[in-house]
Amino acid sequence: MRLGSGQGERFGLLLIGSALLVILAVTGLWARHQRDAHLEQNRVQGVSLVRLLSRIPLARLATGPNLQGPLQVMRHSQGNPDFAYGTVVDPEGKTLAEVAAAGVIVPRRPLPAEPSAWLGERLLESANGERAIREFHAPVIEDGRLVAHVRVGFLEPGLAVAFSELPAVGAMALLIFLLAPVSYFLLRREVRPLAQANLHIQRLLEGQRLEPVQIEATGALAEFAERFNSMLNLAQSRVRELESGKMDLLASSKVLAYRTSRMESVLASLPDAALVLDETGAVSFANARVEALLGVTPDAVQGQRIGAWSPDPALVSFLALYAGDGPRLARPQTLDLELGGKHLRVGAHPLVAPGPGGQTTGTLVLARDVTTEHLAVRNQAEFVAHVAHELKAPLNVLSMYSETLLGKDGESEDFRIEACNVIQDEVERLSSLVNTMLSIARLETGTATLERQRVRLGEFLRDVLEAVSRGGQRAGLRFELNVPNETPPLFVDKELLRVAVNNLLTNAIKYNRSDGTVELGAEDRGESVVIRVRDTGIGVTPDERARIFDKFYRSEREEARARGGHGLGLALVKEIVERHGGRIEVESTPGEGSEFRLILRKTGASAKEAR
Amino acid sequence: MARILVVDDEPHVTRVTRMALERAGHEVVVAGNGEEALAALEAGAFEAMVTDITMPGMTGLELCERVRHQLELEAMPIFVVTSRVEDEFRNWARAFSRLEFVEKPLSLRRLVARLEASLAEEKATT
Repeated sequence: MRLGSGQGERFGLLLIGSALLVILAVTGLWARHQRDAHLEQNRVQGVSLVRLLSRIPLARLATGPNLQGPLQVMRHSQGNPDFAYGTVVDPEGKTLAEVAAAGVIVPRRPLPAEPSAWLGERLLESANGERAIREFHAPVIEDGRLVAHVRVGFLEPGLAVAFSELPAVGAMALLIFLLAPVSYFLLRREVRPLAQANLHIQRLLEGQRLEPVQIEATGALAEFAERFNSMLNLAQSRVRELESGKMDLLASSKVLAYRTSRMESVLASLPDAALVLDETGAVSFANARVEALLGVTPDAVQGQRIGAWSPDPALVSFLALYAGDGPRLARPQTLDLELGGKHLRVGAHPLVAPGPGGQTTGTLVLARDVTTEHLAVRNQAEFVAHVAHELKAPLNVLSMYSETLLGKDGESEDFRIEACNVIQDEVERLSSLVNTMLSIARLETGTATLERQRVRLGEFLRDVLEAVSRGGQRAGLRFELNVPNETPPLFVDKELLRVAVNNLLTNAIKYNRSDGTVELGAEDRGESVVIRVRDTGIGVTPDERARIFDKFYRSEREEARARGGHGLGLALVKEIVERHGGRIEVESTPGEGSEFRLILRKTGASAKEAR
Repeated sequence: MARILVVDDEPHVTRVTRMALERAGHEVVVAGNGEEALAALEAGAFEAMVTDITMPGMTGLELCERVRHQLELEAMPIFVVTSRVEDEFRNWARAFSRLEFVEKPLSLRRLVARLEASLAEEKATT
């Protein structure tokens, strides 16, 4: 690990600069010390000189300019280069004697008047930028009277290093200058581990990693590094724990999201309307079927409480048992209700949080359209009632006749013959009813398979008409067969088709007027063949037309009722034709007659047959 | 001997019922539907009525209601012949007194016995 070169240079320059500054400061201090020492020396000299001179009698002091007076002696005797002047002035300031260094003009300045200030020193600043002069002065007193002042001036020493001191100063500067790089290297050696650590940390931060910092250090720094590394380890383990926790959380949230979306897609694809109510009773989920079954859009109910949107008071009070403000039911229940013409079965299932003592977290509400089942049940009940009635009617007649035969009336020959005929008719009626019902049941449940065979339509229809018309001719009816010479062969279940055509012909006879006509015809319509049974009977009203193919439907009209029948014949015809992939049509004018048409495809099995 | 109205759209039924009741010594009037029955009741007095339920036009139940409410023949015993005694018939019948259901297949002997018992009861109370 090294310091960065830029950093190192900066550090080096800083050190050199600091060394120079230190040298400069030291030199400055040295010079200042020199000046102070100088000043002190001057003061000692000055004070002692003025004191010494002031004790000399004035007569000797003021000896005239050309004489070797004490001032001249003083000047020569002392080698102070700062010496500026020495002068004796009378109290009025007139110069009595004077010596001055070369180039020095003795300043004429009055001395203080008060006796206490006669002895002292003062700094005389030069007006023209020359060096200031420190002047020491003392009074010359003779016979208790001031006769003169002695003034000695020294040039104020400046900040200068004496030439003689240069080697010492230089040596010191050199020492300092040499010490700087040494201290730089020493410092650098001390700082290096820190720099290493710094760089390491920087790289770790850049790489966003947490690893122990490897530094070569000793002492406190090594201890610091060790503790720093332990702290890093701790941080690292905490980070790992957090990261694994985060991964677990992420995984479980993904699982949860998956489960939620799976649950929602399950609920969405249910054939039932599904609503999920939360603890507050507000709708938190509603699938698309809600619109079809409950008449409200999923968006409209979202977040709403049931009372806010449900149009049905029974539903509201039922769901209040689960999501109301009062105590709530913990077991599922169902409610059957009629809403918008549909029969609905609404189930409420409390959603209990898994685990023991789980809290109820909401309610799942499923609404199912049971209209078909409801109608089926009702139809079933009606069917059973019809069957019972239809079976019991002939049984009743049989029972009554047989009972009468056993009594006194049975002794009558005429009654016995009548009874035998009635019993035979009723047994036939019963038998045909049972057969028809069995045929319908087999066709409806798909247990009967069509035994298709090639049938020549012309011959087939002729046979059927011949068999049926025998009874009809007795009643004075006229029969017509209108089949083209060339009829296409049909691929049908011959026996079932015989039952169908037979039933239509039987009806045409039964409901005809006494001198009426029954016409059986066929027509080739290209892809299909039409078998037509036309009569001149009582006809079918438009109201009846919608229902005559329903099982057990009987006309309410007296003229129809009078002719008997169990209401299954046309239902069976329709079932047979549809099993062949065909259809039945009826056209009629009440009072004039009817035409029933069986439309059969020439080839191919129907979807219904294929089941 | 009593005068009895028999209402049924099935001629075989009315034929043998008439024979049985006449042999027991009663006078029988037959009506083929509800309208005929109401007309007969308006025309003359009857001690009892036997009617089928399933008939074209007016049903037997409707006939009973009109007999009781319209003609105010509240005391006349009525025997309603039906292939099955439905719950709804029973509920309906609660509103009427002296009305009994007779289930098919009908036993003529039992019908005559019940009818005569009912007539005897009526005679005892009046």
